[in-house]
Order: sequence, then structure tokens, then C-alpha cells
Amino acid sequence: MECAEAATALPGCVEGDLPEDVAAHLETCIHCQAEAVRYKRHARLMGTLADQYVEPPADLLESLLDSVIEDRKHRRSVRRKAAVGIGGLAIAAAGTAVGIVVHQRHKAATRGLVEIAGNVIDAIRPAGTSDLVAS
Amino acid sequence: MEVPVELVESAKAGDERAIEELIRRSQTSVYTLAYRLTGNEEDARDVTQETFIRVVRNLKKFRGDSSFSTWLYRVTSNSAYTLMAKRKRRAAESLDELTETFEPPADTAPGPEARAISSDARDRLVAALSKLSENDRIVVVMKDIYGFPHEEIAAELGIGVSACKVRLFRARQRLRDVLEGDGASEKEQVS
Repeated sequence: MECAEAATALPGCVEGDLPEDVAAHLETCIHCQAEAVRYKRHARLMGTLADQYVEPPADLLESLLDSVIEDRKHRRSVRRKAAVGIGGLAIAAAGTAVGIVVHQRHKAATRGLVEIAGNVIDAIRPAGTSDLVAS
Repeated sequence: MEVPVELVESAKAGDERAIEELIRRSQTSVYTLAYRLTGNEEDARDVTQETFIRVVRNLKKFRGDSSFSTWLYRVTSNSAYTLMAKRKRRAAESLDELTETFEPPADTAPGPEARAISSDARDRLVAALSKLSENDRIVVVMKDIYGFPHEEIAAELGIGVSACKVRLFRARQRLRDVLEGDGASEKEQVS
């Protein structure tokens, strides 16, 4: 194996993640061993940054708290509006339902009255007269 | 970053003071990761802000399967990635501009190993990181600084684990090129 071929996989040496052929090449190649040492050194240096904090700007905390409070207020207001909206819709739906029921009952009652009137007319209509005369 | 479980529970219950304390205690860690991922203060600030808004919104969904800090770092990296993806879509800022305006901020509270390494070597490393593309930086920071598993980084980036490894290896190569390019490698000595 040539060094150029091994180079692509060599950064995996940091976690010992090397294909067999690259690992075998590494055993005998001083150039690639030096490269591997560099990768490991850089990775170790990177790891030290985990403990090293970057000081945030002095005003960051205040602006974070402001933005979080603002967001919570906004979300509460949206929820309230949504609740009011849903309540309004529910009232409107209930009103519509009542209206439909009243309308249906009114229609039924009217239909009933018409039927009764028809029956009365039929009953009192002299025999032999037509519907046309009766209406 | 130490965040007691009781504090997280109080914050989950909606206690405003607990939420404030939670932010106070974790802002430096979040800002640091945001800074490492974005490479500049302005973006780190935006990412930190977005992170805490998301964290507070979703606190109730935090079930404690992982530690709070792991969850927080996950939300931070997700916020950073979202910001970078948005930026890419807008093509608002070039990498050259980012590197030109880069100024290393003051690092604080180094651990024992960090103290043993010359600040010069760390400064050069931080500067080298800022010269990587956003895609390369995010993968190398998440893996080599914060130790996220490949699977998690891959999921974050929306790519497969193999592609994630390829990207990580390429990022390490570029980082090495930048560090070696300025003739700095031989000075990076752990005492």
C-alpha cells in the first residue's frame, strides 16, 4: 500500500479505527507513523478545549433571560388567544346546533299542522268535491 | 457544568426562578460549545439564545434518559446547525469573511491538562478551527472536543454514519494541514 492510499483512512487512528491494510502499512511506514502521531496529538489538544470555557459577553445573561421571558409571555398569549378562539368557535357551533334543532322542530311542527289542517279539511269536505275546490 | 436534578425538575414545573438559575448555571457551557461550532461571537450569541428558548419550551419533554448537560449540548449543536444551514441557504456570509473577522475570545477556567498545554498552542488550534468550513468544524468539534458518538453526529447532520466518518477524517486532515501549514505543529508540546 502506498502512503497516499493510507492517508484517507489515517485520521481514524485517533480512535483506533483503521482498516486492516492501513494498519499493516502503518506498522512499517515511518512517514505514516509520524502522521498518526500528529493526528493523535491534535485530537488530544482538541480534547483539552472541552474543559476550557469561553467567557460569554457580559450582557449575554440578561439578554437570554429577557428573550426567554418574552418567549414564554408570547406563547402564553398565543395559548390564551387560541383558547378564546376555540371557546368562541364552540359557542358559535353550539348556537348553530341549537338553531338547526329549533329550525327542524319548527319545520316538523309546521308540517304537522299542515297535515292536521289537511285531515280536517278532508273530514269536513263534502263528498264529491275535488282537491282543487278544497284548496 | 453542574445542574442539580432538583433544579431541572423545578424548572420543568414552570418555576421562573429555577429557569433563571438553570440559564445562569449553564450559559457559559452552552456559549462555549456555540462558539466552538460557529467560530464567531455574534453567531455564538444567537445560537445560545435560540438554544435556551428551545430548552425552556421543551423542558417538559426532557425525560432524563441522558444527563441534562448532554441534552443541552444536543440542543445547542442542533441550534448551531440550523443557523448554519439557514445561512448557507441565504449565502449571506462567506467563509473568508468569517476567518478575517475572527478574534479569539478570552478562554477561562482551564482544566489541569489544558493548563499544561501552552496557551499559544490552544490559540493556534482555535484559530485553525475557525478556518475550517462550517461542515468540517461542526463534525470535528462534536467528535474531538465533546465526544459525541458518530451516530449522533450523523443524525444531527442528516447523513449516514459512514459519510459522517469520511467527513470527520477529512476535517481532521484539513485541521492538520492548517496547523502544519503555519509551521506550528512542532511547538504543540504537552509538558
